[in-house]
Amino acid sequence: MLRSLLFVTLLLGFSLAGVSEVSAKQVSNVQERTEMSFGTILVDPNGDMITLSPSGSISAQGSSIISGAFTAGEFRAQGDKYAAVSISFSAGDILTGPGSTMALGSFTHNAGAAPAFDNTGKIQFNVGATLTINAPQYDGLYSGTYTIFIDYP
Amino acid sequence: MRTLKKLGLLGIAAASMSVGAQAAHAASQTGNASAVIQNPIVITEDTAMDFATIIADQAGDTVTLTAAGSISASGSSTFSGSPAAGAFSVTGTPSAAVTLSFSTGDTLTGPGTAMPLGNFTNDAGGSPAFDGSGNLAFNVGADLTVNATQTAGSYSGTYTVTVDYQ
Repeated sequence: MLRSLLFVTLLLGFSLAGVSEVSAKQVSNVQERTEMSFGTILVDPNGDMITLSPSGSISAQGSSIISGAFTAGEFRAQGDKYAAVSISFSAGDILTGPGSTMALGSFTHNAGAAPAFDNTGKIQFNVGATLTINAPQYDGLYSGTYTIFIDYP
Repeated sequence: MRTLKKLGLLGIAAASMSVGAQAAHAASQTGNASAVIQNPIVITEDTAMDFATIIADQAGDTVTLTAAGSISASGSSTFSGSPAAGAFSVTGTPSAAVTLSFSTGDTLTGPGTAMPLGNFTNDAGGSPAFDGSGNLAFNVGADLTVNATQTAGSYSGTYTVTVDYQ
């Protein structure tokens, strides 16, 4: 009877270890905390390439002038504490509006070269991208989506 | 007891299998992005308005330079040299309609009394608009009022052309 109880305890122990391991390998609760915005762009009539950095700074390759509230995207996710993760992005995204669609790409993040969950199993980072402005580009509001992928490497 | 030990091993194996099957769940999330586009209006003066040389009517005169570049006088003034209408090129929102307007109270100054410059005209038509590439070009004419016994010499000044979206 004693041995029997010992075995049950042993089995339970392994089961718990298994459950614990399962949850540790999941990335969960990925949230977009802030939407990416390029603000208001007084466009270079010849077209331009606008770069929004994860830190929130913005610049134009050409003569476009950016005003208004521009901001980098911000994301949070949960997973196994200390676990390394890979962050990747979709390709071929566009912003649509009154005129030609504008290509959104070359995504960057500020989670560092070796992103990982912290000691509470959380990771938070900002996302920047480049926006390609056509010549001509009609006035108006343009919007679109992109996808962020968080995975264990 | 032998049976129990076998069951124990089975349990361990099952737990290990569940670990292998459930490993590494990635996640993805949609992010939103937006931008507001505005085409700034940029005006460039390509040609400065020039009334050239006016042999002035000593009684004073009103000299009219048309947007097409022809010059005439209401009095007896005569002209020489190469008068030129002002020429401007503008960039803005493709196909957008605009209004053109001009400053008032401008003068040309020089050796003598200042000469009023006004009554600006343009050849952008009744409904000026940017073309499909966001370009608009037009010429500007004006009236120059020559005072009686206007002192000879070179007179110059500025005026302001304003282009705005309707």
